Amino acid sequence: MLNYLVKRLVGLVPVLFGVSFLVFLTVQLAPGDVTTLLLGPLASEEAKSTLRQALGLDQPIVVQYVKWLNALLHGDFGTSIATSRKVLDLVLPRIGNTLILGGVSLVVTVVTGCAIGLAASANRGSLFDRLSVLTVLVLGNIPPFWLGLVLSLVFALQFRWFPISGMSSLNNGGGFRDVAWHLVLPAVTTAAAPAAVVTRMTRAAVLEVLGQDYIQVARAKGVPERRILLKHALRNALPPITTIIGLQLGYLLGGTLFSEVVFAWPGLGQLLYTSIVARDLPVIQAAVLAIALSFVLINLAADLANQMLDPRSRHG
Amino acid sequence: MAQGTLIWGTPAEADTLDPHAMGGWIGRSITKQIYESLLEEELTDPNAKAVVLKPALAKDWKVTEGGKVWTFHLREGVKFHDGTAFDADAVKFNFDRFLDEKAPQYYPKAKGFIVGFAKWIDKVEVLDPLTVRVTLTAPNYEWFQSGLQPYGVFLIISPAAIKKYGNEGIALHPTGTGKFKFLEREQGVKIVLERNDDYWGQKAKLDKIIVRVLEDPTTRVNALLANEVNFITTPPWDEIDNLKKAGYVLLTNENVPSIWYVSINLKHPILKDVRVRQALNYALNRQELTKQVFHGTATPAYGFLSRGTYAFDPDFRAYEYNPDKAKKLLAEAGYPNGFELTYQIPKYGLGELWEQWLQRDLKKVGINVKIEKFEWISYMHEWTQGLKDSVGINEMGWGESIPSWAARQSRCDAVPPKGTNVGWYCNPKVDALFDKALAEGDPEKAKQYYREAQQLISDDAAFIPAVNDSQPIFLSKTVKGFVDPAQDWFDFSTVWIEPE
Repeated sequence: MLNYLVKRLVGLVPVLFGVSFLVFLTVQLAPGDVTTLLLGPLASEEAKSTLRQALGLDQPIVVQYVKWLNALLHGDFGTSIATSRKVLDLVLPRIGNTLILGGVSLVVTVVTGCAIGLAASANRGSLFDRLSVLTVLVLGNIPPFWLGLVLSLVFALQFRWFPISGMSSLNNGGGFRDVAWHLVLPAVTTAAAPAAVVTRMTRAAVLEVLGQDYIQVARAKGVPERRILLKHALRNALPPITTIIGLQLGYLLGGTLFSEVVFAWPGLGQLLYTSIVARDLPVIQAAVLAIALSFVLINLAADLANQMLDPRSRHG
Repeated sequence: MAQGTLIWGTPAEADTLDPHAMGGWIGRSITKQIYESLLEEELTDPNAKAVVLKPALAKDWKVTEGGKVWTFHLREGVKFHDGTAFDADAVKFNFDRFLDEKAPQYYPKAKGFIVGFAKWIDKVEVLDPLTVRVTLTAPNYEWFQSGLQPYGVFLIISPAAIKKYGNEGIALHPTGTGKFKFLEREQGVKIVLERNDDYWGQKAKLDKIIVRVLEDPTTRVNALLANEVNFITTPPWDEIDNLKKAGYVLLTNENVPSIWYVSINLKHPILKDVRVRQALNYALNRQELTKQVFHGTATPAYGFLSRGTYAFDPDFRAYEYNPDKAKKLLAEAGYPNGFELTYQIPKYGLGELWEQWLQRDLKKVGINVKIEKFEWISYMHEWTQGLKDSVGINEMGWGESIPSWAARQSRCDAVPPKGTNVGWYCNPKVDALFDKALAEGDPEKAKQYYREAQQLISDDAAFIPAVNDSQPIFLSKTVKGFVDPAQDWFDFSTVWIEPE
């Protein structure tokens, strides 16, 4: 197991290199650069040239990449060109904010997905089952952006139950309750589509297990239905459910971007969006690397979890 | 006495808060509260049709030698927010930041931004602790005011603060002499300012100003409706009627120097012919455009001199809507069945509605317009290269309170890469008039030169001026005392919040 873990972690390095190089290239290929943003409509080509020189952006791409890589290996992620702040100072708090939103959304996804999926499979064919399947179909296909705006309109604007925007109140905000109150709508928005997928998967996986012979045996032996469901069916259905959750987590991270824009939640997705618009390369690099790293680590965690749950898939 | 907090919902983040090395209208509004210059634009006169310069850190000034020498007499007893004294040395220190490469505070990034203002300066002299004299390379009566427009603004920063925090760090610790002090900034979330109770003049009323970034336009509107903000700019045009019905105060200023205009490619094989360009102008129904797309928050623009400058002529008319005349001109030029035209436009988040209106109006006279949309920075990159031969027209929304702005888009020597005359227009007679206007000390005479130049540009049909945008702003009813100026940025010192 340890061997496997080490092998996977070592495999991370070429992935991250590749990602960083690709991002570097792609941003260079897009027309316009950060001087266009900084100087705005006043910027003649001449003015932009002067500024580029001052910012060291007139050097060949390879030179710039090597410089950036070198600094990175010494722990220096560079300075944001648009904001003059150290990149790490910008990115780290954002990672935290996105993890909070993503984490809570994950809990909502897993809890509602498993609960509803389990209940539906236990009452197959009932009204509850049919309704939940229908809801899942609809929610799983609603664009998160639209859902966020609708939830905001109804629960924030109309009923005033929740705030419209932000992670905390502007005046004296920031406490645990304040943040939790701000989290509700963005988390529900982010969790909707993944929860739908998890519900379907749970229902299908549990139904499959319920059709197995050993379940018949357990029933014949008089084991209570509730125990069959939770101890036997769910436990054995966990491997595929865990895999799906692992995959959904990746999409969840991406889905937080929409919620971050609609609810002005100061997360990594929103930072990435604004720095792409600004062509702020050092920030884009750091943000994309953070996301790539998360993806890889999450998939690794999901694989490991699977191995622990399912002895059949364990590696040496 | 508590006078409240103004919370402003903005469509974008402000740049850094180092005025010598930043740009944008939102940032300009913020630096306007924190910093001051020797002279300032008066933004709190509700009756002003154009902004004028007033004394600020200089209590008076003289312009001599035909516009070449500017002498400033500085105000006594003024302190920066960090307690250090303002004097002539502080002024010279600020000039040297982008003029003197040998000065320890020299900042190449500032030079890159403030180049338009700096290139006119021959020398800066400290005559005594309260007098500074600047000699220009050539006469220019608009010189100082040009230094107050965004993208490198000549505001006075505390030299002690620059020495303490460095050229990069000053953006995170902005220290000026203004009516508001910088309190904190959470990047991408908010900027907080508080009233400066040690200000040298009439103090502001508000306790605090919070600038809140709300990029999504619907979220911005909803935040106003839910009282999370009490002031928003750039509302989506189709929300204007709803917000009015909900009781929010709509302010527009008919004198904001903001004009939407189309640049015509003078190198284009078909558009080379002046009759074709005139036809384009006759085909656009400006009156209906302002009613139906802008919901009354804009007025038709017939000439290239925007409102909000002393040279603006409110009675100027040209190419009033006449599609029949347009078709006749096209036929005369050899295009009785019209032609195809490519129109490059940016996506700026409000739906690109007026561009589609223009496309429709041109279709009515037989011209098939193909719209090419670009993301904003990609568009700016294209725009500053100048119109390519295969592209017919593009657009920009812009303007300044000084009429020489029009010169910078239309002079022969302002074509790319040196300038932003992206349609390659050139008429030496127009340039000669602009030169005369800049060196003319009598505003009445200068006005005439500008207006003659406008007439020539109009006869040449070098552009399609479309509308003058009145920059709608929505306020909550509790926001009192705000003056909507003839400018794209604001002075919040007269504002207070009425308790509910």
